[in-house]
Amino acid sequence: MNNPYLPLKAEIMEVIQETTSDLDIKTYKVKLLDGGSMDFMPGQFIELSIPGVGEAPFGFASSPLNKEYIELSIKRVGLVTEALHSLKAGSGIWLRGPFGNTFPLKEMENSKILIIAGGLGLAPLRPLLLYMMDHRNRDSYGEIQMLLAARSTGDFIYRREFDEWSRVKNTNIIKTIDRPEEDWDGKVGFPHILVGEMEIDVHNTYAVLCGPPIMIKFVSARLVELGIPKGKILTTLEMRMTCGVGKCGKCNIGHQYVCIDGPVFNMSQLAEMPAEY
Amino acid sequence: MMTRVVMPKSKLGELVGGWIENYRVAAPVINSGKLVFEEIKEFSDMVLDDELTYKSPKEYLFPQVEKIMSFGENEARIQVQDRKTVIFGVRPCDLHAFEVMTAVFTKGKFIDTYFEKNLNNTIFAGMGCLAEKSGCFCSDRGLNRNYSSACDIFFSDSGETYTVEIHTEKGAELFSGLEFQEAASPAAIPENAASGGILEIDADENDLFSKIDWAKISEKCMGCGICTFICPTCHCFEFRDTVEGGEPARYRCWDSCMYPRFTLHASGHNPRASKKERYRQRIMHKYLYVKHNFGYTACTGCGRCIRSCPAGMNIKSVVAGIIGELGREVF
Repeated sequence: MNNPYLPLKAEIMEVIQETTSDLDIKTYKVKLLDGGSMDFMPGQFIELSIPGVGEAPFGFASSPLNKEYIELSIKRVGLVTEALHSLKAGSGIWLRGPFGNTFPLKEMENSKILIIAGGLGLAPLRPLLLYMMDHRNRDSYGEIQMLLAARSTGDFIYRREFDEWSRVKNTNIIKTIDRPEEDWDGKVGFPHILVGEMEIDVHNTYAVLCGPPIMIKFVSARLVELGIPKGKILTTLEMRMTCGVGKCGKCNIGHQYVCIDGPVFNMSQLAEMPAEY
Repeated sequence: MMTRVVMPKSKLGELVGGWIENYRVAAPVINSGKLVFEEIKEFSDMVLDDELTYKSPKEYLFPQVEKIMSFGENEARIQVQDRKTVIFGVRPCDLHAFEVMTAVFTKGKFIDTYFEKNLNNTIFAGMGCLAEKSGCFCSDRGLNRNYSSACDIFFSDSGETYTVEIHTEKGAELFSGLEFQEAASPAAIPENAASGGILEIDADENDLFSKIDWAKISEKCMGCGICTFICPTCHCFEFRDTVEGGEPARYRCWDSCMYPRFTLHASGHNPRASKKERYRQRIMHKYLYVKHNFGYTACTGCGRCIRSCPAGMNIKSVVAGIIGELGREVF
């Protein structure tokens, strides 16, 4: 049995500045130093170390089909991310994982997909999107609708890819910001309002949400009202997760540990769990 | 395997002295006025009375501060203690606590390398308690203070002699080359002090979470966390990085669910922002979550948290109160 706490060294290949707002989000293209690939499935996360500073969990943000490198989109907000944001291409970081459960890819096959993401919440959904939009998998899933929200145009991540995504067969994107801006070609307003204006086949759709807790709360309530079964409304949770392997005792919600039983939960599961997240 | 030998008490010094030559031996000693497990260099360092140590010996398997790795240029090097240790005089409550901790650290999808290594290197020499101590409630938790089979060897006090049960190969190792009289007939396992039943919370997770007045229950708690440090089953931890002589290193340190930063997110959000949530977590983790996930209630009734709490919190009466609040009989 391998030591689950032992990280491997990786190298930052490229740093992409995602946001132009006061929220500093960067995407890191990273490959393992030994040339190995890090096999993961959509929904899973890794623990990233900056030696001497610390370690923190982050969701994968790249396609699981990409074996060359992984991508992680990370906001500068705490000790580890502050240190990470000072690193440039060529710098070393350390990774261990993958950890956690995955989106139910098999179960979701043949259904329509509604993706609702707020700000950085799009990052952990990107592996799922890229997996489903890949030409090898595209026909296994129905129509993909995306409602992508951000506070302002400067807060979007992966905006450079939106056009390419919307050109994928049977896929469309609605983007929205909180307040009007000049030259904005998208919507203005909150996702829980806008979702009511969308045409959703509630009997044959999996909704996948990620974003600020307040967004998840209002959007999921709206989706339930519209008639999507709670078991088909999925989200991914964040917690302080020191170990990632169900030992350190920090990330539990009731008896379930977000690091091993999650981070992906559906609203039916969450409704049965104590509200402590 | 199971053999049973009778050993005059006067021979214990010779036996333990032999262990000291071959193993690290931890046993109860007095340090700064408190009875604690420490490594002994001579048999006479040991204090053999019928008292329970202030802290459990959990740190021999799960140290309070443990260097788990250092970072080289391209490789993280693990630090694993590789030293055979005999822990002598472990009481039935603490032996049970090691069963709980072993489940947490070595069952499931992932195995904790450090705990497992320490576990494999440890020989548990248990010993029964004669009298119940103030604050103890192991009998209400279904344990027999006189006896445990959850160890490699077990000492029962039979007056002038010890009856020693040898449960495992590791335990037999401690007696190799020594001749002791095999016990003629199996000594009767002493009955435990009478208890009306077993203190358990048999409740739905959500009911216990939401229907109990946790704010009131936790009112006296000062959040000092001493209960978690001296608890034999508490196992939560945090990693801490440092740089030593230019080389980054990672330590694992005990953490406590009683502290606000335990669950604090980098964003500032905290799912357990107040004492009420934190105290609820401690009780529910011990009495529900560990039981759900591993089959054990993670409270042995050792009473250490009761004896140590500066505010006089008493987990036994808290749990009994909760059972009453749920409209049930305690026993």
